[in-house]
Amino acid sequence: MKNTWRIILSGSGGQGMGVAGKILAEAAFLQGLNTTQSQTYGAGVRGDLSQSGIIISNEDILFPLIEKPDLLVILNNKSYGHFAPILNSNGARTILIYDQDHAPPPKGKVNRLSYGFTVVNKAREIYSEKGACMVALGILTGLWIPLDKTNVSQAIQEAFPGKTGLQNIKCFEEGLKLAEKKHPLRTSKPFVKGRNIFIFCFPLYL
Amino acid sequence: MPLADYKQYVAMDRLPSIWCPGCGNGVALKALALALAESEIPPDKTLLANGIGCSGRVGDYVRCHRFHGTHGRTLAFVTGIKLVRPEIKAVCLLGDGDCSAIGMSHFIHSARRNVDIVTIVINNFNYGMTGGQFSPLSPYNMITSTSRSGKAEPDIDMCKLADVAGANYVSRTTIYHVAEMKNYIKESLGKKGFSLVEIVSPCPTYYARYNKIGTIIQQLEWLKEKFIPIERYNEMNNDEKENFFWRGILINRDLPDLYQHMHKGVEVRKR
Amino acid sequence: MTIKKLLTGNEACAYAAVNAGARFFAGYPITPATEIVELCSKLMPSNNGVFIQMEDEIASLAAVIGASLGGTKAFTATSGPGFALMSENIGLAAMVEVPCVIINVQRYGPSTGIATKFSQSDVMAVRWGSPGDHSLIVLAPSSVQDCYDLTVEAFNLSERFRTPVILLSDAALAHLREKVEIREPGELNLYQRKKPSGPVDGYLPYGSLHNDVPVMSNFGDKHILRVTGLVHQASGYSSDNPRVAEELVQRLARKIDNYQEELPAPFFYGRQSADLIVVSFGISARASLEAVNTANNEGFKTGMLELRTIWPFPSKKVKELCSGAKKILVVEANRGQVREQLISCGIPPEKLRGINKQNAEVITPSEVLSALKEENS
Repeated sequence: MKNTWRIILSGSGGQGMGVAGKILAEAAFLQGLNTTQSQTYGAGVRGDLSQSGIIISNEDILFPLIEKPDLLVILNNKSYGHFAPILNSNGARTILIYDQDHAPPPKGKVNRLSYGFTVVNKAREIYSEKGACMVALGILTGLWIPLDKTNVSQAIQEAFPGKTGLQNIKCFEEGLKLAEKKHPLRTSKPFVKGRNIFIFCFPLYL
Repeated sequence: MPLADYKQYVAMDRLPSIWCPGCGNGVALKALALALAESEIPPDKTLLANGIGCSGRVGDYVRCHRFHGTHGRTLAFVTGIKLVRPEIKAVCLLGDGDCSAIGMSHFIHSARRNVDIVTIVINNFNYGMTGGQFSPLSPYNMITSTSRSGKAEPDIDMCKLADVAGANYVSRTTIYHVAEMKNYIKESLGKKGFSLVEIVSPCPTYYARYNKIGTIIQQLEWLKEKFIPIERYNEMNNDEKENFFWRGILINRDLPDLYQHMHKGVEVRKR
Repeated sequence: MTIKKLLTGNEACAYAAVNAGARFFAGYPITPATEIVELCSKLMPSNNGVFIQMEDEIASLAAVIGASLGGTKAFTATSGPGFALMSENIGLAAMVEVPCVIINVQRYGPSTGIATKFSQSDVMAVRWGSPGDHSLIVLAPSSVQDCYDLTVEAFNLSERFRTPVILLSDAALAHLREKVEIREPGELNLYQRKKPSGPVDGYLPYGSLHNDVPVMSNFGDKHILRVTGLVHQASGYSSDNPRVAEELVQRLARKIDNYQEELPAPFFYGRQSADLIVVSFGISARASLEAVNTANNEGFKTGMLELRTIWPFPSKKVKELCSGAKKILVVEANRGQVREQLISCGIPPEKLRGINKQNAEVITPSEVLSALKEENS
């Protein structure tokens, strides 16, 4: 059965959107899944809006970028403007995860698939704002994306060698704990091997 | 003393050249071939690279390796060659327009990097191949086909520029001073790093004609009188300097060249 | 050994170049190709190669040509504005027949455009940017794996044909991270440049031809090499003889155009006898593929043609495949540069419909799908 997750992480530059996306993709890669990752590129990464998109699938990923996310993580208010079209048109299917202290959804826009968590403040409490995305990764893998926790930890360790890695793993584990508190939400099913579409493609000879 | 075997570098069968009677390019080529022969650099380890223009045709009359690329870029091409084949002795023979106008940035950066290249600039004060337009090296107020009432722009001293940029060897001479020319080229062939020999040369067809310098003999005499040793020039006051140009060795030093710098860089990284 | 790794398109290009044997990189920083320049500044010295950052793109390609003439596989990477500067020396590389690889990571243009944003609008510029008649090879990757494979292929083709080869990547692929199978040098088929073997005396650099490609020595070899951007004879000395000029310029085109079967062939997906065919390349081909796949799962009968060699344009094959189709959709993020090429092949313009996007964003599968459904209804 097809099991594909399209995830977008959106926040301010400096919150680690790019590296968190890379870690998620690496963890999926370690698990033998197909994955692609892309991120905003430009002046935005230095403080403005910054996003990272990750696709994780048990099948070949044909189009590697994301039109409509299954999971949308929002860590700053500015992101709502950017994702308004997606949240309004596809709101029923996209699961919104937001920082309840810093990025509550605009009034009247909350649907039944929106969940608030203490993300940034939690990261500040145990490490620094730089760990915010790791907390979010803990929540995502705890509740939705069926990735092996050891793979995520390993990917974090590879992205941040040494002490920083341990701090970030702590943030990730804190995210898992937050997820545990909301376990009735859990919908994840383990990945199974899917169909490969690329083998149906064949080269021509001139 | 008999002349060294300079003909091993010259494609005698391709002569006569396309240059005008009285042009200095052939004289400079012979001086270069003599300097190469005296330095005993084998033709298969010699690369002559040219710019575009009259002096760019020098490569059509040599028997060593020859490169002829795009206008002004010669030094950039040869930088690439030297980095992968450091054992080659590379001589870039450029015209004043090629080197000081379109190729100015490559000239400065090659001198700054101190790439191991002998650069010979044949300065005939104008673009000969296209009909005698002024170059950045044409002196102020001189007549050319694009400055019929006198060049309105000041000129630039490539030798001083090479000095400031970091070249290891800088000298200037003229076509009249044949022995000095060969000696300067030979000296620069023995150097590591960027060296510049500027050779002032007559252009009988355009520059000399437009500025009424006279016959080719008078042009050579003009070079002899106007270009005075640098020591004498430096003793002159500013008013006197107006009427003269200097010749001689401006810089002779041994700073590490690009290849040495890069090699050092690798060692530092490995440590 | 084959290693699997998650890499960006730019990283894949740099690793591929090293594994293909490139040991010289000269470049100039430009978004979105910068990562290639940065990675090469590490990879080249650690593999006994040379990295140099030049004063501009003109000098970068000049140094690459110089290094290649010295016998080293060499390459550079740039984007639109830098490519414009390189055009001058691409002409020279074609004329004097120097193998070299240029990676053009397309960004939004004209001019500085939007430095960080995507476009596919350099299709014509890479082919016709340099004056004069000559042929040229341009390859277009559509995935990070392709960035790796086609970069290796680009080096092979440049050595085989002694010509500049351009890899037409784009800003979206450059920063896309995907799984890549890295085949290491032992696993790769690498083409080695032919070297002259005859007597040193009387050697003619352009005198002995192998499939219309000269067997040339390198600078510093015993066989003396003479190259000039002027029209030249077999000896490498210049000539203004009309017959020499005609023969040279015709050979420059012939040596590539007559051997097109050696270039990467297009991919075909879906039904070959389809009424509706989508033609695309680069990242737009990925959107097209998803759209075609979805449409066929819903019962439509569509096919998709992905161009991997863009120049010389595979006219014969494209025409043959598209001859049965009632409608051909050409998906590309520009005003229709490949579509023009389909018209040149002899496909009637009324059969063609362009899906073009010029807002610096990638074409999405749903855009292609809705066009497919419109054409089918």
